[in-house]
Amino acid sequence: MKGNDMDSKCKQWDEYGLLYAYEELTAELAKIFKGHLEGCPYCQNEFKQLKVMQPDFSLLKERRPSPQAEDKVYLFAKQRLFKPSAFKRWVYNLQKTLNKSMGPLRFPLLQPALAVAVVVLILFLTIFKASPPGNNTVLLVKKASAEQINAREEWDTLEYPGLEELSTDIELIQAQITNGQYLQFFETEYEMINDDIDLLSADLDTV
Amino acid sequence: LQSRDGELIEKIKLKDEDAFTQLFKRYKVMVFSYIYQMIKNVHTAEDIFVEAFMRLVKILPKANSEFKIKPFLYKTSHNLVIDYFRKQSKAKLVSLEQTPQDSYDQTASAKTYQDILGTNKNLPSDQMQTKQLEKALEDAISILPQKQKDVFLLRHYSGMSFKEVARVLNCPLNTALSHMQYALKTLRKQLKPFYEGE
Repeated sequence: MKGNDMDSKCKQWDEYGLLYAYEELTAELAKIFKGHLEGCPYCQNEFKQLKVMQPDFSLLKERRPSPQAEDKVYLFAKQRLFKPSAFKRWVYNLQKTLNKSMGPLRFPLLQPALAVAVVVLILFLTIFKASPPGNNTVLLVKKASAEQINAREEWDTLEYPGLEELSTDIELIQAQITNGQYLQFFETEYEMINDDIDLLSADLDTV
Repeated sequence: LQSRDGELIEKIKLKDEDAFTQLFKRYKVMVFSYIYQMIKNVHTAEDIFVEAFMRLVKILPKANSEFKIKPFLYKTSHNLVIDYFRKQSKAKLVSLEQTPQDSYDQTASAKTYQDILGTNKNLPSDQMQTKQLEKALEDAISILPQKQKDVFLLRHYSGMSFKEVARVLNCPLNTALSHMQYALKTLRKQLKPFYEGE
């Protein structure tokens, strides 16, 4: 590095001076330039003037963005980085599971496609399992109502054996008992018929 | 203890909101100061600031731990500022295209602060003088041509080396150094009254 007088411009300053003043030269180059500086009035003058001004450059005021501008950035970051949609999260988890069980796949789009296919399949199965045909609530209600109506109609059309007919039966059985035939059997039958008569009387009362 | 940018990126990818807050706090003042000094209009500077960080947010999920956030933010801000000026007017566009030499000649004829201050007896150590110097420095920077202003502000606000500044501005190191030389000459000329006593 050659020395120069103060009036003529020194090429060394253009090339190394600023880097030296801002401490960006390598140790080796800095040592060489320092040697040059000692013998070059032009570089000495430039260096001195820069060193006088340099501390004042820090007077440049730092400006802060308004809280509104900061909020805009935070809000955007929250939406973009920290709150993915539920579907995205689900696909991501499924993809992770698939990755675990199947290993990394060759085609990057295959996994999301598989994930979506599985979602569709699960949705399909869930819907059809929840309400198999002919067994949904509306149908069950309709069926129950029909049964009730039928029972009512059956009840209304029910025919009761006449009391006279029953009395005849009783007389016949009494005659047989007196005859001593099948005594035990008829005693039982007699009791059963008496019970029937009681039940029928009760039913007739209600009707 | 502050985490490195790479660690913060990894944490953000793991949905750590605090990591993003830390990253935002680290760069917001630096980036906004740079944009404001370039634009000199708070509302436009804020719009550009928000846009620059939105672009960062968009790129973060794809970034790896080696991703350089600071150069990205400054490059994005710089490009947005240039776009803004381009949209502003043709006259501004012409000033963007000026060579450093042309710009220097132009700024050399600007009003000096000796005229404004009327006196050169005060020294920068005085509090009032410091205020005046601060104002004078801001004004002197504002009259610098775009490229010189870019290099000067990036070097002083971002703390990036000249090499990094050159990379952000997409120009060779020597060009960046040349812009800085011209910027310093202009500033020296404009701020001369403040240093004559020294």
